[in-house]
Amino acid sequence: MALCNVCGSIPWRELITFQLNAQYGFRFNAAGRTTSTVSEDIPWRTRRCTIAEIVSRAKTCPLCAFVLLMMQQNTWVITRGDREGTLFAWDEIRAAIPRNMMVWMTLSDDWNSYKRLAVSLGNPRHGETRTMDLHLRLPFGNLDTHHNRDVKLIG
Amino acid sequence: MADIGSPLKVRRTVNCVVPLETLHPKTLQRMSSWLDSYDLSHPECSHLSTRVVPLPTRVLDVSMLPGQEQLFGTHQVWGDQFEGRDFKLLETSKGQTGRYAALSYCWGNTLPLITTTRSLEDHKSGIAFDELPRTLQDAIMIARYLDIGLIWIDCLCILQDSKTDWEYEAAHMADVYSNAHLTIAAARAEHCGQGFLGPRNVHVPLFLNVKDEHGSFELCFQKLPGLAAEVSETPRDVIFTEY
Repeated sequence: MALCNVCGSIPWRELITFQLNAQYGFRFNAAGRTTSTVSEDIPWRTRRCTIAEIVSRAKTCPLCAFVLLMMQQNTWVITRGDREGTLFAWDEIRAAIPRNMMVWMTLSDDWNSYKRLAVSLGNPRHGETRTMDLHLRLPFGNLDTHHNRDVKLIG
Repeated sequence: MADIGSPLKVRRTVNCVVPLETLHPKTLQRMSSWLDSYDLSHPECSHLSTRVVPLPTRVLDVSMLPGQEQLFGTHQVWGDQFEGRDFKLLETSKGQTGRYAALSYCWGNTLPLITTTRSLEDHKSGIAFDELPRTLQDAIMIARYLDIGLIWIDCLCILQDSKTDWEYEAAHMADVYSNAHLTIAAARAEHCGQGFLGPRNVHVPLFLNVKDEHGSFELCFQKLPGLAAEVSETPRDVIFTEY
């Protein structure tokens, strides 16, 4: 299966070969869904979409399918309001954030240097849960990647 | 944060996927290769590769247990090869040098086996590998895989009922760890009976074959909890974590 147009627009090769830092972001605005909550100089770092959209894309896109599966298996923690700290399974969080529930995905490249897709659930303005971290990793055969930055790509 | 138009100044690493199997052959291979590369290219700790490092007052002599030659390629049945075997507590002489590993671990509430003034002579005669708590067994197996014949473990190398011995050894503990050829940190074991070589509790990664205008390449995603950088005060650590 091929990646969908949104996931396919991400410069993966540049990210894993260190030609591009994750802080430069995803081109998630391919779907016209950029957000104004991130800095203006990184306009395509954060993706916001509906559950329906990711369910639809998951039918053909393996990355969207993986994100959806992990979302369904995750235990979510609300970070705002009077339910802060409460744990929710998938069905429960969907009931807890009933209206206009949005999936927020941010490519993080923080101080500890791990590139990861941080996924949270929330309303159209912001995430309302702790993030679920999907780390971008290399296949384990690349033994030298930690010290040797010349990542070998197949193909 | 740099703006989009500026040249890249920092290059970030992408780590490898975390295998479910702690004793994954690639993990073992990486551990050995790190140690080899440190011996060759880390002048600040290359002295640890020689045998001029003073030994602690007592160390466990595990050199009679199976080594890398016997263990290579048999990681799934390492325990079987150690079953029923003995090793010894060695009291070193002043100025004696050698190469040893040290274990950093969490005792937990109790320890099933310690060295005391009463058991000292018995332990110098022999200690049954089977009687050790799991974390200590795992540490010895890792040391032997790396062909290290001596290992320092506090509960067996310090007399636990002697205030004098404990005070002396506690005062020298920083030297013990800093002189160790390798410190094995059992970070994922909450107590000495838990061990740290069992399967990890991680999600199966997703492997994607991605095509772009330059051809195809493989991507991998893995759900992992927040990862913190490990900070160590010893020169050479191999840290066994859950993730």
